[in-house]
Amino acid sequence: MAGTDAVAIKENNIVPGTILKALAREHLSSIAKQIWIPNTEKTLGTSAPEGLSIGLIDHPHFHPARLHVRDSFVALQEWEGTIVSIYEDYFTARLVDITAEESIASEEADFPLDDIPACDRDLLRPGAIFRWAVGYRRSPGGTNMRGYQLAMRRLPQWTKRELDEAKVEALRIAGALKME
Amino acid sequence: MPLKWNNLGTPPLPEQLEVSIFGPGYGESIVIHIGSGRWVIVDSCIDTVSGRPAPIAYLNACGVDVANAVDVVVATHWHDDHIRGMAQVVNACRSAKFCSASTLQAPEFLATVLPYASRNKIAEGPGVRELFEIIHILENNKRPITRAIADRRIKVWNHGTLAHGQPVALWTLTPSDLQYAKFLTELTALMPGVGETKRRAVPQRPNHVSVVVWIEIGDLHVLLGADLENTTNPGIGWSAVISSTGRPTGRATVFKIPHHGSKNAHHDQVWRTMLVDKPFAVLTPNNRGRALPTEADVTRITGLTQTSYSTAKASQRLRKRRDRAVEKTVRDMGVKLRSAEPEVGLVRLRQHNSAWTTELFNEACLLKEIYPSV
Amino acid sequence: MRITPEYGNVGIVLLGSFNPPIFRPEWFAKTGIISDEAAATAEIEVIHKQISAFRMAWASLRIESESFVAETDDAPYVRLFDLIMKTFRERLEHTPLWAVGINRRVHFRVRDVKTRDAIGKRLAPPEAWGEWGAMVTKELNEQSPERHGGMLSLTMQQRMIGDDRPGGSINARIEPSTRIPGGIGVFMEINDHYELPDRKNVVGCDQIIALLERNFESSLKRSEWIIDQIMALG
Repeated sequence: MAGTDAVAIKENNIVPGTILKALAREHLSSIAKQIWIPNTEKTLGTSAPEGLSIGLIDHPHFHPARLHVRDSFVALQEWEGTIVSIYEDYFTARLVDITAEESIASEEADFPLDDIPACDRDLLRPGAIFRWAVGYRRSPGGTNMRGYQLAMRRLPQWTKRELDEAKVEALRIAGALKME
Repeated sequence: MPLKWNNLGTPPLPEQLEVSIFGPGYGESIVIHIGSGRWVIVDSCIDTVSGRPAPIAYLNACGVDVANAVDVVVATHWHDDHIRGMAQVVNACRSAKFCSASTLQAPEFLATVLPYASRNKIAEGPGVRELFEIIHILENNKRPITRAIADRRIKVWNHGTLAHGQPVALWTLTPSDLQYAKFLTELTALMPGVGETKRRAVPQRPNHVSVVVWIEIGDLHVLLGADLENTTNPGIGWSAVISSTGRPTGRATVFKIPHHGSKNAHHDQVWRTMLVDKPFAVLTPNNRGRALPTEADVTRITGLTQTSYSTAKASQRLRKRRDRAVEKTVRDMGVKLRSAEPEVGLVRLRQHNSAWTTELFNEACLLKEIYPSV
Repeated sequence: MRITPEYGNVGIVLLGSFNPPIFRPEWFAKTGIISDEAAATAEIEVIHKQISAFRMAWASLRIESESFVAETDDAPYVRLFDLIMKTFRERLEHTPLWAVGINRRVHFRVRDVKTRDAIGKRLAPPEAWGEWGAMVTKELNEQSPERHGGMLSLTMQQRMIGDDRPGGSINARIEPSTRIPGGIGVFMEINDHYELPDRKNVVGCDQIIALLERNFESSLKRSEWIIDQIMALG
């Protein structure tokens, strides 16, 4: 293969047939000029005009390539967990091995409640679902750190329509099944 | 070590009674030969190695034509440890009566459970999936459900039809109307609400509509306790069964101990009035969450009968080994992974000319050996 | 996958009709799609009538009038899927969508420069390029892989896929990695693209979101399987 410079510029190429459009620098630069930037010589001590939002961007050019040079958490092993019981300082969950492409919860474990970020604690209840990934966080500088991610799944909510549809279907099934 | 289905010896003789209890440590299933190649299946669990329902795997290995030779299939309740693979069982046992509590036809139950399935592929759990597969099969094939209620005789096999010459009857002893009403009341805790984040259905305990089965083969009786527990209400649980005046009389020689041998499911009066002295007693351990039976449960039960067995050892919670980095990270987190799916064990009891044989396969053992120190 | 990548990324790209300025971190938090903390710590790049872009701890979002791009570099990738599902199933079900792309990107480290060159030569044989091919690969030098000529980028496309998509394709791209130095990195991107045939008459997002729901996990598995085909060459 050809050699390349170690700068992450290639990921913004526009490839025919894909829907990943690149945001060309020129395009973003023109937008940048239309945005009110705080604390510049011109804007110091003033407020943003109504209707415009402020953002933290480099003025006048925007560097999309910088977006892609980031840490990455790569999973060696991933489970999907269903919370079964919650106690004072831990919860029990049944685990499906996603990495092994299993569909039955063949393992279970107790997890300290502290493993759940505070912002997700309100999602904790029996039946709630989470993903647990164990692997490495790798940085562009080459460092590798073993770690894990435990993320509660923020699933859609039940809607009134769904629950009403369930009631209708329940009546239909109850009528269709014969009991003797 | 997986159960070698083809190494389980010969099928029962036409005049032999057989009660076979399967338990992988999570889940249970019971298969009963009532004579002349006629069978009953109570609940279903999965053989973790083959992925097939254990009762079907066993009956196939015995050369049984399940489409025609199974007369009754009972689903004692809808916890997923009792119905795993039940859809395949119902489908395969085409000529069997399907018996369950009225829950399956109750709009309140269906309306509570349906949201966990419909348009909810993300959160659909295996128990709910199995339930609706069963409903689908029954509806499409217009198969009726035989309602399990307290003190109801579900099926009779007349004495002329079976090789041993005895009449056979299968009864359900639960649920009572009160138990059923309590179950429906407690369902509300499971009912999803508008605006709640979707989740999986986690069954409520205790299960008040657990179906207890009683089988009479002439003067011989079998009591299958499902997961029925006691409560403080004498109209519910085992107290209600004991005090019922409509239930069949007699004492059981074979007892499937309810709810993994837990103290909550024990009732002294059951042992004193519904069982023979020192019956054959079998339990399936629960290796998920709180391990059951506890050592105290084992001491209690073995004190009542030495012919007590378990389908798996309590220590059988071997877990998968993974990449070293994964193992270390899991350890560093303070998380202890445990297997919830040990392989299927089998306790098989056969009776012929009043003589009983007991066979233990795979990890099945005497109950006193389930914990080595007891 | 056969080899654990050095870097992984998953992106979901939706094509439709959007109103970029509404997509602020606060809006996502207020609707419960992300946590309040994620919104509070988000880095905003731009919020404008033509484009909104911000970055959270585990994902970046970039919305223009006709595209909604969500990406993450962190497993578990299902979080991205949940974010899209919750946004469109719960809040924006009337938003017209006509296409979705599920993208998987990885950077792999191979054993050595020779191995990477072997992969490149297998995919783009220099012999096919005649005398010029010989010139291109003449200076292959393990001591300075930056000076190598050879394959720079290759894309393969599958059209007749045989699943339930009404239109679209699977596109697999391979290049030398710009992230892994030393001439021993390979970059692959699999774009799994689903498209409705009649975008002018699309009403709402249901069809596209249903396609995403049915295919997200299997798409990632298939992408990893495609990547494995190439990794087997190494």
